[in-house]
Amino acid sequence: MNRLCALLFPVFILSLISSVHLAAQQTDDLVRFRLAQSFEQSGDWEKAAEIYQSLLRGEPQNYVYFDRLRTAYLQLKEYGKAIGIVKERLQWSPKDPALLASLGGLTYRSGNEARADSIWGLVVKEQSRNVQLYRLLAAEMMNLRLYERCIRLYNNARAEVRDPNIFTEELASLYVALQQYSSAVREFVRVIRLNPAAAANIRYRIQLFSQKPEALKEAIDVVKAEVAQQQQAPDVQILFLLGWLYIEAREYEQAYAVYQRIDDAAGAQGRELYNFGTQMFQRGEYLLSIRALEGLLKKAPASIFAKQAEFMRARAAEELARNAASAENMPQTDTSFTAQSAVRMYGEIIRADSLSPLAAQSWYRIGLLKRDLLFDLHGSAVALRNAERLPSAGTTRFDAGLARAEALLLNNDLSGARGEYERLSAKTPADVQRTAKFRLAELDYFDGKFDDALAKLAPFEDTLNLTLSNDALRFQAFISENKRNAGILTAFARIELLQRQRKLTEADASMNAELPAFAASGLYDDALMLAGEIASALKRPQEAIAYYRMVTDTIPHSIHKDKAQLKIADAYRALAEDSVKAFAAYEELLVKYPDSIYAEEARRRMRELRGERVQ
Amino acid sequence: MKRLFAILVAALTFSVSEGQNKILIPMDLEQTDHLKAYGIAYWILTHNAEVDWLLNWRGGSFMTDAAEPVARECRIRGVAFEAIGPSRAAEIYSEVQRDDNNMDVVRLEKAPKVAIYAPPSALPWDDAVRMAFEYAEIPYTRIWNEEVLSGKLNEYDWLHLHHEDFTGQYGKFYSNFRNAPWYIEQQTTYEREAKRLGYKKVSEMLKAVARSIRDFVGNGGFLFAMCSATDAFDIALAAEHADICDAMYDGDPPDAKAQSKLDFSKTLAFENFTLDMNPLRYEYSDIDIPPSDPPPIRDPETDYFTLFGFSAKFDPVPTMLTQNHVAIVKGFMGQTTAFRKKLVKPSVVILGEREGTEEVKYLHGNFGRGFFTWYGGHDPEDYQHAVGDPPTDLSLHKNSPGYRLILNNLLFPAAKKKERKT
Repeated sequence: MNRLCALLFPVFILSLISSVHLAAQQTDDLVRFRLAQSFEQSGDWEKAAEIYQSLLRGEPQNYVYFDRLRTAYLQLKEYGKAIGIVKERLQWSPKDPALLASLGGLTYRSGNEARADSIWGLVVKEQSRNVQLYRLLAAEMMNLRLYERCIRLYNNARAEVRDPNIFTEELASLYVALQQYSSAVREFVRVIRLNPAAAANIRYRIQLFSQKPEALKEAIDVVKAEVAQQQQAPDVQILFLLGWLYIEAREYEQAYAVYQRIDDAAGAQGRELYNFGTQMFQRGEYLLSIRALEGLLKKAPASIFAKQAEFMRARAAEELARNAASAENMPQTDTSFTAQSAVRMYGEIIRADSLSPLAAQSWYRIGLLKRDLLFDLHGSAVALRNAERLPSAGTTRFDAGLARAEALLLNNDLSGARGEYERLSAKTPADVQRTAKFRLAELDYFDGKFDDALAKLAPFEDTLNLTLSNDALRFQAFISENKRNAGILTAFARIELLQRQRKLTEADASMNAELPAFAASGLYDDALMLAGEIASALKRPQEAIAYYRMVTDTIPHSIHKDKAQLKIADAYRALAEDSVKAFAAYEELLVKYPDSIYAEEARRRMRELRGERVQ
Repeated sequence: MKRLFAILVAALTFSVSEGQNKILIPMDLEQTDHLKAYGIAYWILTHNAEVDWLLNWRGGSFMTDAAEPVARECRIRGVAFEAIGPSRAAEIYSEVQRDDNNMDVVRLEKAPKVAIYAPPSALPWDDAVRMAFEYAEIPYTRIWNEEVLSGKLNEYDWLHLHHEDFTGQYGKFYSNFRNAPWYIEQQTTYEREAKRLGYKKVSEMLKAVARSIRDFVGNGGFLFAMCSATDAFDIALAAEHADICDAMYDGDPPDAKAQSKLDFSKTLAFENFTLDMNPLRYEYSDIDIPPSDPPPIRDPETDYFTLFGFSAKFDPVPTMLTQNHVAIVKGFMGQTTAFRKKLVKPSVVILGEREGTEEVKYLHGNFGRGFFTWYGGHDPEDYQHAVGDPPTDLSLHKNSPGYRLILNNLLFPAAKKKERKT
């Protein structure tokens, strides 16, 4: 027993010493590791590397030591040393893809691109269909900002894996980053084909670069070619993409052709034509809007969108008629769509269903057209009354009421207009009430009841934040200044009413008759301005200019001098088409009234006359 | 053509009153549009006429020979002017040139040819100088790396840099914008450009650009930089032999000893600065004060800087650069808001500072045969401009003192060289 103890004791002592030594060694390594980390954090990579180096020598298989030392070498740009430790590690696992990828990266950094390529080739050599390996390599290449090499890698992967649809997202992002928009869009198309639900997201991603004209063109070319390849059974989402791209590029005709195909391919029964027609209406492309909507009505007359399409078509026709009638014609006009044709279209809608909300809307639109463009004031009032009376009219009834009152006023039925405005000035929405009250004040003014008008305008002083308040206050000031000479002001108001009613010849005659009386009053300059406006409306620019000149030259303290000067210039420019005199007249405004609120406008118009592009 | 001729004929209708032989463009509070007034001065120079800059007289007014086209152009652009007779003109000149007045006359003779360094994708409203020029109707040419590196700078007299990052760290927007499409596109565009021009790294290309620009100044050019183009430019010059870009910028880590490798003898305005190479911090160095990261919190209502006064007769250059109708100017921030005074080289003249602080806002110096001016902050009328903010509408800031300082720099190279009095 003693002998056995004598034998075991030294063994015990030896193992005790050894384990104590091991524990001490481990503690020492841990301390040194922490020290290296703190050097790392303070940016002293040289000292950190020294410690990691010695730690790795003591424990060559420790991955953490290896990884930190590799990082330290990288920071110190000691690529040769980093390559050395990676190679040592590869001896234990020669095919480790992560190590090979890293070795390739380090080799690339050391300047040996060809060698790096061959090392990276080894990563996928034996498992060329392993998608994850390509991702690993791509990550390394991305770190090195080798985007084009990365694209080549992904494309090779597709060939190796024999799957043309892998890495679509990755490739699309890379192509966008490299501004290779055609290739990017090809990938996006692939994404949509694989996952049609991603279409909206793809559209958003294309939108990030489609504001560049060249990028948009490339996108269109790619999607167009894609669609051309699928003549027989086109993918609807791809067609949508093409249609949207055409709209972005304002190539509306092409977009329309695509939407026709979409409607067929999706079996939409005209829904997509309706959507397109609506979009075109919103963009002011009224002719194309009408074509699309008529396409729907022809193709699917029983479609649930048909009625709405008929109304929208009439609205587009109305806008074309208004454009044609406006003094400054819009670029897109078509004489085949007159006010009458728009009225006819609205009439058909009413005949089809006289009680529907669309019928109420149609009566309202007919009323406006007859009032504004056809000057059929009685017909206008009747139509607007019909709109008001329909239970389906909703809030349109208030708009129709205000419009009807204006039609009555224009038709010189002032008491009828007053009745309508009084009705609207109570128990209606606040903005309708305010408008009605302002109009009632106008009627009082036209009737010569100036104190009544002022009383109605007074509440507007408390609501200065409203747009209408400016007009109300200006009107209030004008009446207050001139009401002491009630006879003169009444005559002036009467001429203003005639002008408003477009009875220009009568207004002109009255003005000629009253002008001497006005000359002796405080509103002579207002009268001359009004006379100028009437003469302008009667296309007598020289006469208008003469009236305005009287304001600028003969009334020393008129507040209208600068405005009159602007009107002179405008009359030369627009009516007399005399740009030389117009330029001089604008300049005269700047010389004589440099602080005028019209100075900016005069400057802008002078620049236009000089041929400058003015925003 | 006929129409244009007719308009010119019509234009003769309003001539400057007889007997008035000078047009005075006041630059004090009487001026309706200070910024366009500079445009008028430039326009006159482009029409081979001369302009006298009356330093320190009514805010640095301009005087030129009376001519109807000048008067008309003033009217169209909304610039206030006065037509004055010979005796009044003589009186003004005499007052300005009197020895006991800190005023002087500088004759402007030639419109400088202006270039602005900016990438093709840069939008005019992201650069206060481009906005000022567009508003004041001053023509300029946009140039970029290829033009600079191929020596085309010699074709210009005046160059502006705004917030281009010559260090190759892409404005240090990495932390907040690394995934933003514009950031990615910017980085790839620069990388492609560097490759195309034969540089392995963007930072190498940009350092070469910075050196070319420094040579341009050395050869007599005028350089005006704002915002982060100021410190980034000097940092790029100092770091000629050090890699200060982290891996996300150029694919490899920065030089561990970059700071000690900086060569301050190569810089124009700053020295002894310490780099901030943390890629996650939106700051290049300790030059910028207050630092941009974290964003400083300041009350715009109390943020002003003061322009120094100089002797017009003895120091005409700094006097020209500080002409204004106010002496105290509203502050504004930028990626580089102001410069730490202790890091400004002693040879550099401080034109404006935030009084009682270490913050230099506006400085000027000579290098070789040329001049440079640095102006901290991004946009004088947008206190704290951020990426994606809407552009400033200068028609709402026609009398901006901050913008005037920019435009002073444009006219300064037009001045006739005078014998120095000291």
